[in-house]
Parts: sequence; C-alpha cells; structure tokens
Amino acid sequence: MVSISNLHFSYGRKTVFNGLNLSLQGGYIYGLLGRNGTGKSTLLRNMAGLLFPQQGSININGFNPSKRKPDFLKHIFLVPEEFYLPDIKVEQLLANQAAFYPLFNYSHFEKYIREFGISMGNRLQQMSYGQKKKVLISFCLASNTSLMLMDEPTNGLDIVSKSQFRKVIAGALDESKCIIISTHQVKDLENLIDRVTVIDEGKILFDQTVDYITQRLSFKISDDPDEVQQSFYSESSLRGHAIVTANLEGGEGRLDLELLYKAIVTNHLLVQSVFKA
Amino acid sequence: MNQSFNLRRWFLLVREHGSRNGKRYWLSLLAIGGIMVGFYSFFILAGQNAIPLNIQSASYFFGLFFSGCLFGSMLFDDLNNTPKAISALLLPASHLEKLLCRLFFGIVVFFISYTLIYYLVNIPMVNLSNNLGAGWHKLGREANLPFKRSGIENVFSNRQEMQPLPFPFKLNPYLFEAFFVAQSAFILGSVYFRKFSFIKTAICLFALFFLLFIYFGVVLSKMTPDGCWYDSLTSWHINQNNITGHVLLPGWADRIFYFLIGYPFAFIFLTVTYFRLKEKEI
Repeated sequence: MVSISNLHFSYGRKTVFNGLNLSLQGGYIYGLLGRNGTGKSTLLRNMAGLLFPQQGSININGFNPSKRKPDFLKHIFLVPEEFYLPDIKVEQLLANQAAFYPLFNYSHFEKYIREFGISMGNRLQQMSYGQKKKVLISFCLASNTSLMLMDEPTNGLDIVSKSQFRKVIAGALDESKCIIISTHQVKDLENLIDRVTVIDEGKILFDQTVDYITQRLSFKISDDPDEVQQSFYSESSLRGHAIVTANLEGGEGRLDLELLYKAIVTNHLLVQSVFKA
Repeated sequence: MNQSFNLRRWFLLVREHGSRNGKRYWLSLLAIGGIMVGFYSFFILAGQNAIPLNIQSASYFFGLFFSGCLFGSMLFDDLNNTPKAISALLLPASHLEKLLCRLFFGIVVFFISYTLIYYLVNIPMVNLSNNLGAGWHKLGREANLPFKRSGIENVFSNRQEMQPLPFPFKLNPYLFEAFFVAQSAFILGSVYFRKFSFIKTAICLFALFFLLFIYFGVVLSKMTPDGCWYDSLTSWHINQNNITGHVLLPGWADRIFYFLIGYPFAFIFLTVTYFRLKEKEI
C-alpha cells in the first residue's frame, strides 16, 4: 500500500531524511514513534503529498502523492496535529465534505460521534479542541479511506477519550485499511498498534510487529542485579527495576511500549541484535 | 473519473466553499455597502447637491478596484495558514477545480455582487441627493435657475460626458480590463506571498508600472523623432525641425494593442497561480 524508497528531504540546510526506506501494508495499525523534531510529521506530510521529496520516491496505492490527484486524495485522510474545521455545524460538515469520499459511511460517523459523546447539531467553533479532534477522527474513520494518517491524535484528549479513541480505531480497522499513528506519547498506543516503527534522525531505527517484539523481548520488573545489569534497558521504579531483556522463556509476553521505546532510543543496536538472531 | 476537471466534483467544491465562507462574504459585501452609504452621505451633506454622474462612476470604479483587489489578495489566504492549507489541499479535488472554484467566487460572484450592491446603494442615494438637493437649491442664491437633477450612472456605458478626458476616449472598457488584470495579479500574489500579500503585490505592480513608464517614456522616446505620445500609445505627436504632425497607427492596431496589454496578462497571472497552487507545499 505504501512504498517509500530512498526518501531524501530537508528544510533548507536541515536534513530530515537521508535515504529513508519504508514499506507498509493494509490491515495493520502502525505506530510511528520518535522524539520531537525527528521527522514524524514531515514523513506523514510527504505521504499525504503536502511536502515533496527532494530525492527518492513515494508510492501510495499506485499514486505519486505529490501530484495530489483527486483519485489519490479520496483514498487518504490526514488528521494533523493542528487542524482546521470551519465554523459550521457537524451535520453541515458532513453535507459539505462527505460526498468527496466515495466510501464515506454516515452511520459509522454517527456511531463514532455518539461514542465520543458529541451531538450532530453542535457548531464546530463552539467546541473545545478535544471535541473538534474527536469530530475529525470520526470523520477520518467514517471516510473509509485505505490510508489514514494521524499525527499526534491523542493530544488534547482526556483520559476517557483516549480509551474511546483506542476502541474506535481498533473497531475501524479491516484488511483494506492501513492506519499510521504518529506520536511521542507512546503509552496512548499501547494495546492498539500492530507494528512499531521508531524514527530517529531521519532514519528508521526500529521496525517490527508487536507479535514479533513480544516473542523476542521481555518487559518485566526485576530485583535481580544480574538481570538488571544484562538488560537492554532498565529504570528504577517503586516496585523494583523495570527492565527490557531478551525473551529467553519463549511465548508471548506483554508489550510495554514506553520501555521498548526508551530501550530503542538508548540502545538500539543491542535491541536490534535480538531481532537479527 | 477525470483527474483534471469533473463538473460534479466542482459543484461539490463550490457548495463546500460557499458554505464555509458564505458568512464572511456576506459581511464583506455589507461592509462595502456601508462604506458606499457613508461616502455618499458625506458627499450629499458637504456638497448640498445631487450626486453627479462622474462621482457615481468614480466611486464605482474606485470601490471595484480597491475591494476587488483586496478580495483577490485574500482568495488563497488560507494557504498561508498551515491547518487551513492542509484542509484545502487535501480535499479530494484537482488543482484546476480548486482554482476555478475560487475564481468563480473571487471574480464572477464578487463582480456581480459588488455591482448589485453598488446599485442597491447608488439608486436610493442619488434619489435622496436629488430630493435633498432640490430643497437646498430653493433656499440658495441660484434659486431662480432650474435645479439639475442627477441621473443614475450606467457604469457599462461609454457616454463621453462622463469621461474625465477631453477627447472621445472610451474609458470604461479599459477600466474593466485593467481591473481584471489587477485583480488577477492580486490573486497570484495571494498564492505567491505567505504574508502581507496585498501590500507586496501592490508594491510589485507599482514597480511594474514604473518599468513600463520608463520603457514608454524614456526608452521608446529615444528611438522615435522628437515629440510625445498623443491620446494613446499608438499615436505620436512629432515636433522636430519645425515640422509638426501626428503618426497614427490604424484603429484596429490601437484596439489590439490595448487588448494585448490587458486580458492576456490576466490569463498569464491566473495560469501562474495554477502552477503555484500545484507546487504549494505545507
């Protein structure tokens, strides 16, 4: 569905991507993780056709995004971190924009909106940032586009809304869709994503499925000094040391996305070695 | 479905644009009407006379140029605001459809609405000035002379009496032409400049006029016999070695000349706007 090959991109003299390669398939929710300013949003904008690669190519469903052709645009939806919604009612938004998306499902939109606790008759400009974001996320999911790009979608959502977000996203996924969620708030994506992609300094630092990660890595609390010493990453907590180690026992454990992310950022070569073995 | 232009998609775009910006457009038109009422009221009270045709014509064209260019410079304003630009550029329609939709509102709808607002204000205000002026006239020194009532200006006509020039020069078609060229330049400026597009475009246009002035007034004058332009840029008054006379190009050449320095520029500006829109990155 998405094939990025040898992507080079820079803002003036500041290089963001220097030969980035990435391939994404339908039926998965991808978590695009990384520190602030590492190029997550830039990557999403390149994929949406809002920024053009200086070298390399991006192919999405057979389209070159930078052409921004209508047939490409009607199968992609971006929920940006900073977004704009006009000063109209929710129902008017539907009447104006839903027709542009051939697979838009009105009943799904109403279902998502209801789940988020928003009324169709509300004016968008009278809503809070979080409520507006929920409307946009609902619209994105109901548009049934094959590629959904979400840039920090949980920013501005309260704790209850974050779990609602996870629920509606998980319910909206099917084989034909690919959802890419970019965030630095890794906890918000726990139990939601199928694949973890960590981006750092313009390169893909780590890219594995959650199933494979839990087969290869173990996330646990340990008081054993040797185990802590040999771990890929450790941090002290009230209950002992939270550590990331190789999964030597076999079987799939629970993924702690925050610990994984910290382990990759601080010690990615060691973590990668487990996956190469 | 056609990737460049599809009528159904364009209608959807027009509906979406109208719904999103309708309130702003209505308020802008009301503001224009309000300014016209204010100006005419001031004129009636200060002049204590009927509003003459040339003042009606001048206010129409001044308002058209100022508000039309200001409106043109705001036509793609949203592309300079990242969240709005993302929303506009990712809406599933082609660049051509997006451009034509904005031009429909910026040029066609604006021009018709402005002219309607102008006459909605102009007709009652001229009638009011006639009635008030007649009353003041009776009390004035020239009460024995008949009061000259003012008619309603037809901005599309070419009556010589309302022309400011002393020769039969059909000014209005050229003013409309100049307006559409200027507005197209401001529309291009709204895509081209990220900030202060109105001011920056105005500066660029003044620079262009200055270059044209230098070209016609200095460069071409050096290449021609002593004399000066007369009436138009297609006639030259010779005054050299006690010989005086006129060199005139045929009338058709005059018309073609003025057409070529007008509408083609508008087309060029709008074509460049299309390519700038295609290249726009956020």
